[in-house]
Amino acid sequence: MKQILGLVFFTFVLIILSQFTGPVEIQINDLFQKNKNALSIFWDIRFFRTLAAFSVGACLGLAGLLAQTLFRNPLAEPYTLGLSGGASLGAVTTIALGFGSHPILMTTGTFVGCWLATFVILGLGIGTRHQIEEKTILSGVMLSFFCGSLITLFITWLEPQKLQSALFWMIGQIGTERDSYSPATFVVAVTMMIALTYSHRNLDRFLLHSDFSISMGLDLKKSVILIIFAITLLTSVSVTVAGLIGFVGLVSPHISYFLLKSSRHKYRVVLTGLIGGCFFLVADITARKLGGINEIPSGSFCALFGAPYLIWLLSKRRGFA
Amino acid sequence: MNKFIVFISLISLSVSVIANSPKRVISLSPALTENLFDLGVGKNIVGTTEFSDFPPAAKKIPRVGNYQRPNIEKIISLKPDLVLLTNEGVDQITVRLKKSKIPFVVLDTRVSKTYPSHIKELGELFGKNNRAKHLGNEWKKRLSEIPLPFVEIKTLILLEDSSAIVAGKNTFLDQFVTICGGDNLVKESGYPRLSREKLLSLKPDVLLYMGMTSNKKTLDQIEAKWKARNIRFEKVDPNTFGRLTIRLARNIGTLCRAVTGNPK
Repeated sequence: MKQILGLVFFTFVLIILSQFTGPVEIQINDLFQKNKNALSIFWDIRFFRTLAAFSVGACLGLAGLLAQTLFRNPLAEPYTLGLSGGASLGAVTTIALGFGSHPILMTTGTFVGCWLATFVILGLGIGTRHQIEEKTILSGVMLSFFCGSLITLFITWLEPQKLQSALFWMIGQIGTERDSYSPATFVVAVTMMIALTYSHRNLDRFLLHSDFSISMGLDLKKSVILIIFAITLLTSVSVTVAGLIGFVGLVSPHISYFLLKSSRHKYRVVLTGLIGGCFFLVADITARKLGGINEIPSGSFCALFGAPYLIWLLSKRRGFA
Repeated sequence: MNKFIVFISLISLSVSVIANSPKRVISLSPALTENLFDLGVGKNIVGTTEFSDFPPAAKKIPRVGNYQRPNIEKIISLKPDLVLLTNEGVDQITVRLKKSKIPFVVLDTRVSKTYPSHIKELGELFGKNNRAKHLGNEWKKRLSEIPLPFVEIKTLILLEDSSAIVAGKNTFLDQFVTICGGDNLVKESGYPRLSREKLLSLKPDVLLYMGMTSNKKTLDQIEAKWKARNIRFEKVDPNTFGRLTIRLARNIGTLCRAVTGNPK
């Protein structure tokens, strides 16, 4: 519990830091004096950006936790399911059709791609009775490669300008006009934190071998489908805002395990969500500090910070639960 | 967005706009910045994009980011009463300008015949109709002075060597080359990327190279490569000929000499 309180405090510090970081310097006095421009930047631009960074990070963290629990695999993350492939294919198709500058159509394309990928892997994996997790993860990886090839094909046909927007989309960043969708992402993040904490016992059962978990009264197939739906919902609302952001989903569950020294889900769900949010906020604040008026995609900092940190964490502990 | 432009155009047509001509303008392309200086309202520009380097005074204007991705926070902080953009890949910023209630006008700068109408539109926005008319007429006059060509010289306009980006139909470069007597071998519209094979299969008489490469060694290598195939290689300044401004018409002689290879 004290870890959660600590992180809530850290989140607030980061939110304030994020609100005062950007190419335009804003003083607290500007806000009190109702400086129209400062207020506009503070609320209309930066507030949504901060909210987007936190919500996207939180959603990806939660999705990563679910993926690692479902597959009992420390390397699993939302994109292992082929969701990134589906989402990218949706986005690149939309760009290729010439709707790349239309925010609503881009969002729809991405969202549809993400969910189509889910239905494909469920269709492939669910048909059998045995080893449902293994089949799902293998279908996911295959789907990723398949979509990846299609994307490469599409990209070679794109004109330079469309190519650039496709590449920027795939690096993943916030600070675009899609930030304004972040309230929806935030609602999904909070709702999922509550819902998953509520069903923490069922999630804990997944950590056991599937024979044990079934004997403990878990309806395996139903639970797997529900978890995959939850992962897709979390991933799709974040990719529509930020494009492809890697690593947050992978690293957040590991940090929460390190802090809690336990893989039980009672506190871990909320903690992982908060860690994901903070992690991406830090990445975005750094991107803004270093970038100035020329935006650096914040997605590029995730692995830059995340990879060394994860290696350090792993070197400090013995086994994996 | 169209409604918005019509709205702006309507005010610009009325007399009131001369009294209220924009005082704090942000120009989101190097060509627009240059055109505003030509109209004599360069001092009203409070922000512009990187690479806005002509005339020299433009270098002192604060930057708001690059051409493709200007920074919205910086734009708001400069308190513009008008943001000007061109219609090439700008939709993402217009969504945000609309949301922040900043007036903006999108101008078409893609095809050369629009320069007189383009400068006229700009002139109306700033109450500089006479100056705009003058520039438009100068443009038409200079283009009409080019003698009609007899032969069509097979031309290739290469913008970037390593990824083989060329200028195709419906671009002002294509139109200028045609005026000079060139026949652009690329028939696709816009700025397509060619495959290496396709690029080498084209047999132009002259290659106009408009790359931004300033590295002498790279440039020499590119030149040697084309010359080895018995193709005339002409380096064309991208700063002068890559932007839709009056300088393009004023220097058309240079371009035509490059196309024809004729020193006159």
